[in-house]
Amino acid sequence: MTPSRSAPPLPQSLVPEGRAESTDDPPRLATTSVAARYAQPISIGPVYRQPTYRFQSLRHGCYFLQWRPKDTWWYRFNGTMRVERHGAGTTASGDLYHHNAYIIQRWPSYRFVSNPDPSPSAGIPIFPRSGYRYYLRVTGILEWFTIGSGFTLRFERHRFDSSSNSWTNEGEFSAYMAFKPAPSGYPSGATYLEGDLKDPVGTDVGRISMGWVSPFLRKAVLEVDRVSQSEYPTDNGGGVDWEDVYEAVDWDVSVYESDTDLSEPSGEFWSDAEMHAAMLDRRDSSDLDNEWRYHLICVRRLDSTSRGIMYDAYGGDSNNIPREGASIASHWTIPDTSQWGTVAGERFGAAAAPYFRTAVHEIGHAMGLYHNTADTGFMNTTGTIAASAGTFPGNVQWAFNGADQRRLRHMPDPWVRPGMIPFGQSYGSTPVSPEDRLDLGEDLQLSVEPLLDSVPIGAPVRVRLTLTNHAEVPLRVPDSLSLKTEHVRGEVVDPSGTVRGFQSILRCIEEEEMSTLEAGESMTHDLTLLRGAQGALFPAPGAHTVRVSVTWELDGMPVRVAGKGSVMVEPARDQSHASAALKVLSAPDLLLTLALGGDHLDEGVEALKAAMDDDTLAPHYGVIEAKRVGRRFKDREADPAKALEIIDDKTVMSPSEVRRMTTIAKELPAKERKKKNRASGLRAMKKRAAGADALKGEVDGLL
Amino acid sequence: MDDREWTAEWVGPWAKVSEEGCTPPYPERLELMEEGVFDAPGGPEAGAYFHSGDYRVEEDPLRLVLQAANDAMVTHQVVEKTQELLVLSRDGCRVQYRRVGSD
Repeated sequence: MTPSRSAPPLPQSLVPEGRAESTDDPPRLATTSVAARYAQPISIGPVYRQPTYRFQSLRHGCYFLQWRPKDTWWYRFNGTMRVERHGAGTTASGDLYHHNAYIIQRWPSYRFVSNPDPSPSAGIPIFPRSGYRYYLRVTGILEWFTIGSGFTLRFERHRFDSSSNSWTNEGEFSAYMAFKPAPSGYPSGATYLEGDLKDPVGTDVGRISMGWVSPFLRKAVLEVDRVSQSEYPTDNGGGVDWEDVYEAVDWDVSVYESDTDLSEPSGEFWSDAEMHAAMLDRRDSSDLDNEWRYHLICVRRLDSTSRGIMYDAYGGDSNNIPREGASIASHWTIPDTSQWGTVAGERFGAAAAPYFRTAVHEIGHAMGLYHNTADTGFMNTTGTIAASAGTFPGNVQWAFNGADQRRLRHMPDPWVRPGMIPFGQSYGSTPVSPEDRLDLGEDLQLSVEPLLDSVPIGAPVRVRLTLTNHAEVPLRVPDSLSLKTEHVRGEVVDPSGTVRGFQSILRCIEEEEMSTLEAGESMTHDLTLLRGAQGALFPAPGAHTVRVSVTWELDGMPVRVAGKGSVMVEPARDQSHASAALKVLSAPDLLLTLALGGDHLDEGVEALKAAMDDDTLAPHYGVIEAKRVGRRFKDREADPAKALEIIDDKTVMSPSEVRRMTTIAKELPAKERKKKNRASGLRAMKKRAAGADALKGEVDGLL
Repeated sequence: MDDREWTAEWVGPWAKVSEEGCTPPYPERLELMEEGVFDAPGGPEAGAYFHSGDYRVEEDPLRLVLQAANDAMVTHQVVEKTQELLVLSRDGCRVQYRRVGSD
């Protein structure tokens, strides 16, 4: 084919009607180039131009983020949005800090003066810790590119409570972000977008803007001070240095050696308190509101451990400003055993690779990371790696584990920056933007079906999860859809748009199994939902949406399947119902009683009794009470007879609950089961098992 | 007691039965391994003080030293130690583990 410089042919639908030379001419494709058309005599019909498409995408890096609330000039929220572009798309997260638009100037006279925003030309901005307000967990963003003028940004806004270091999800906000030319002050060619921000119920709450300021996501300084006898940990002796370590996680960290003459306060061994005091005394700067500064001390020996410690935690944090400093010991002697491979018997400071690794590990703790044994990366412990397969330190992975990389990029600022959340809080207590995962929605379908379309307020909501393989081949999936596995979690959106997450309060600590789901096959699991970490999941009358996601790894690739269902919560029917509902909705222990059974949780048992005393709620709690009394607890014997007597025609039960009740009923001799009020319970169970033939048959066998 | 003798007594998975006065909490499960390292699955998710790391057993008095989340080596008094039961105490915290597989 002869190369042509003509534009691609226009689609048939774009051939203008007036172009046909004769109405008798058959319709034809426009095959002539636009240039050729322009070259024709001007007697042709209307001139039309080839549409110009501009592909727009988000640039990887840190954006200066600003939200200007509507109806106020006095303050706004400034922060950063971290946009990570990777092979699976885009992951993003943000943080917002309160910013007063004006400050009082005291001299030469009292007056309000403008309080300027950070300059975008200065790169990644740093904000005072006291102004911290929100983490933005981005749930929708431009993944690849668009030929449109923008995209819809969606994020959950999590409000930070600095008194308890906890977070509250205030629901999903959204804004249509339009690409615009960057205002002056931004780096040349910076991506810049603006949009009107809508709260969870769609109210316009102001203007949000984001402009690219750096190819890095976060910025920090690491100062290293040492005693004269200890080495400065430069690199791993094999080409990996500090810059490599932090560039790989998109942190711009300036690492430098400062003092080299720290004096030893009490010989070669240093206590945590001595190191903390040396940090306060010798560091070059301490303004954590203007820079994220971490501090590393290299000493000969440590009191509390052999190799290294992040001493600025627990009791070692004497100034209550956590995670500022860590230390490593150069004069520990590596045991002379085969486990320690090629560095066995060496002085630690002379063994460049493990010495440098420990320095990175301790600063990892200062950045809020905990131990991670998933691989031999930086946050595994030295001893565990030495005991792993391969020869130490050749078996070290010179990178952070993927989960830790994600934490460094996307955990909220207070988690990673020094001087905010203390070390030791659970990862699970903090929101983090969801990982991009391969969505298997085409091949696997997750349905979320409530057992009842509507429930009275205060009742638990029973949902059935069904995972179906629509692919033509078998697929590896989690062995169970139980909340007790790491794979399943969900959230409920109430009528006001507030989102509350749920996951199991009991975790299965055994290694989780995978199984094969054959083509066309399904697996099911029943959930009974009542409360989550943020309180009651169904706290108000109205329509609630239950969203569930299942995530796991398939051949090393993270995958996800999600589904949702709706349930209507009815208002209180009378005073008795209102009182009982209030009791169950405000009793956190009821969830534990539901999950564990037993008699030991007074508040939970009392709330369950209140529900059973109310005609409206009793049918929804009957099987929960029946399971509790039907099982032994400490000195109290199991009472399967009483359990069966609780069940009647009105009792709401999922098939899984029928199955559990069947197990309890089997404890009773056949003759005892057949007594009138117990047989009616069994008949009610049989009715609820309709559709599950094997289960129905099993109940039938007990009658 | 040489290394081999004590590893046989300590090595293996232990499940937490109870704890009193322990903040942060101890991990639900503690797996002590022959190489002198331990693993406590799920520790960071639960906010536990021990996730994984080195451990050693000291005698006279009998003590178990575990590497904490910030890498400090933390010494525990061994209140009771049988083949099936391990009771540790430290600073007003008392935690009881039972060997997994024992009844």
